Amino acid sequence: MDLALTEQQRIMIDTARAWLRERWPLAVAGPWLDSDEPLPHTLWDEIATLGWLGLSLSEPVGVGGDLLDLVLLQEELGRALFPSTFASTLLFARLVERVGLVNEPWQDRLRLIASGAALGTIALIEEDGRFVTGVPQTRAVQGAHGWRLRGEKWFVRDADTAQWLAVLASGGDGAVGWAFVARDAPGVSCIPLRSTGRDRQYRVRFDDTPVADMVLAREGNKKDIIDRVRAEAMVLECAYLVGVAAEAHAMTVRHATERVQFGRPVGTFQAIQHKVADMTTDLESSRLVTHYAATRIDRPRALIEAMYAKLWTSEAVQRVLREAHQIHGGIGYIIEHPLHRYFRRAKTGELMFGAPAELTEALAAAVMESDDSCLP
Amino acid sequence: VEFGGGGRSFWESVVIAEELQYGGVHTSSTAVRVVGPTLMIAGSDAQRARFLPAIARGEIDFALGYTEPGAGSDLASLQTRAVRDGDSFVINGTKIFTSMAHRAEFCWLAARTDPQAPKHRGISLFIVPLSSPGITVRPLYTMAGGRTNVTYWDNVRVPVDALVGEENRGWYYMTAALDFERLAYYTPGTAQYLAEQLLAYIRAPGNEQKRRDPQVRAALVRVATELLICRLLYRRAAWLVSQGIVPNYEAAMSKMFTTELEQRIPQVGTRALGPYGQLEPGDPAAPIGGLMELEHRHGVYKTFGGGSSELMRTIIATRGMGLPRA
Repeated sequence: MDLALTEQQRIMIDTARAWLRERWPLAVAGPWLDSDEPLPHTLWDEIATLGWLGLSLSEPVGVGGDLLDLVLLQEELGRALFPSTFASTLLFARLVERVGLVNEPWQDRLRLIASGAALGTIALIEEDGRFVTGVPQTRAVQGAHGWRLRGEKWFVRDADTAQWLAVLASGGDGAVGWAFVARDAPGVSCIPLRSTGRDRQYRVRFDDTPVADMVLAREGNKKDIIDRVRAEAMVLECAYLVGVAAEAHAMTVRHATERVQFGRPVGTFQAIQHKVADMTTDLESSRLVTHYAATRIDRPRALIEAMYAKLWTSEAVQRVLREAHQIHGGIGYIIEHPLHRYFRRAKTGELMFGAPAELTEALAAAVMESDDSCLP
Repeated sequence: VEFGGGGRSFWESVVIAEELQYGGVHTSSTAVRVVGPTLMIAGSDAQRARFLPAIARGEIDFALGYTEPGAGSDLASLQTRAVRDGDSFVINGTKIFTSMAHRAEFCWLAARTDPQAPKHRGISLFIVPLSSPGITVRPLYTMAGGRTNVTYWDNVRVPVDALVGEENRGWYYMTAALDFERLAYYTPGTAQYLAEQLLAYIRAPGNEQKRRDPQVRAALVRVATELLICRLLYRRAAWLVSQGIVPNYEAAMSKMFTTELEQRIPQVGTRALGPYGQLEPGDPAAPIGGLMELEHRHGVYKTFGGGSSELMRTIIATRGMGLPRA
């Protein structure tokens, strides 16, 4: 176990913090979260210039960084409540690379994504809300003019601003795979959902929509192209939640140090100190397990590790936000105080990309019924 | 190496400690974990030459003489006195929970040498042969069936070279060693062993009904998840040590989490077994040889022995997060 960050990673974190403080302070983030505005496009150009979009993509489009680099960045984005568009786009772009779409049009599209000129997202979840164990009812059918897509996806982040969607669909005969669809293709419609985290989520319908590229999982590579995306999505959501919790924790330590009652800072009371200790344990353990899952993403058990990370982090971050509010008391309940935004986003993160009940049952099946015991 | 050791890193030693605890072996002795490291830092050349090779060979062991009837969590208020008399110190007082005092050769003793100084600055450390005249060891039997001791010190005379490091600096040596001690005594090995035993039982043929029980399934997933967290918190603290950083709040966090998990697993385990969960070792009908029942009792001390969970939380909040002290 090596927990040391490289010099490059430290510089990236410092740069991200400085940029977010300058360009996405809460005074900007708050009103945007309350609005229905699309993401300001100038921000996206700047992100591309900072190198974040190419960070984890392969050369020559990107610089070939690994998932841990993205995880470190996601934590900073979580602290600032930056839009989920970043993770959505990178999950999409990394999937394009993974399934081996290397032809010229896709190289161009990836270059556009890395330059900030195009966005993408992934659509896995359907009406039953399952993320890890779901079987897609959305169907791709091969006809005379290529593949066509029919069905409906739920909880698709950033579907309205993305130019491209990767849609998990059945391809007939029990085969499952990814349908790559242009957002402006015929038959695509988006209905916004109103999430507590105020991220931009949609129901997306596909009505005989032409598919640009269809990649079916073959026998043996389901892990590589489907479970891998699930694992990456969970790890990146965890990292964002760690950022959310880190900011709520920092606010709480500050508040407990400054707020005076009974003639002394409330942080001198053991009842408060012990809550802060538990918040610290929840925060730091969530970060550790997220980094752990990120560094094991290439291993055969990556999905299991990611589920453990997501299950723990989701619940631990709920506890952090609950105690943050308890320690802040009335002032944190007021809408001008930013804490409620973190509280909201923590709940969305808990329930998106693998809600606790589904993960518990999926892990139970692994622990109870698999050949190796799947204990961590 | 020069003192007969392996010259390995702390990291390697914690991995070994974890494996040994997994095997149910308690080799993380006071000699290896507290006396050895402290002598390396503060011991005289004569003390190192005399004790370190014997410790490395496993020939001698130490009882830890810290806790007193009136000094538990508030350890620095200890009252056992060591008074200089010519070439000797004369020791009087009472120590409690001196586990191993009936078997070990020496006591690693904390005693007050300056009653006028502030309480943290008047304590010194001594190495005392337990065969010294004036020491009486009386057994205290525990609810888990084990034995610890109370030891009475009546004009026990030791030569001045029994003093470890500087006089009245004992508290600093003790607290530095405590952070390492927490890592050494409380590894994830026990929790891992308990979880695997419980899981193997539930997975065994004939237990399909339990295996299908949603409550049992959810409880076991929680145990598995917390086991992973326990290991990561432990390895983080051990990694800090390997980087030359004292893991003070991180070791406290690891100790707190590990010991609380070691209590939760038998709690979950006994419940999963239904009425059979209450059967003690020795009863032929007891599942897993009564392990869950035994650990349910045995684990009680873990969240106060070696620093209570409350003390650990206070350390995390104040030393770790910088909250103001009362």
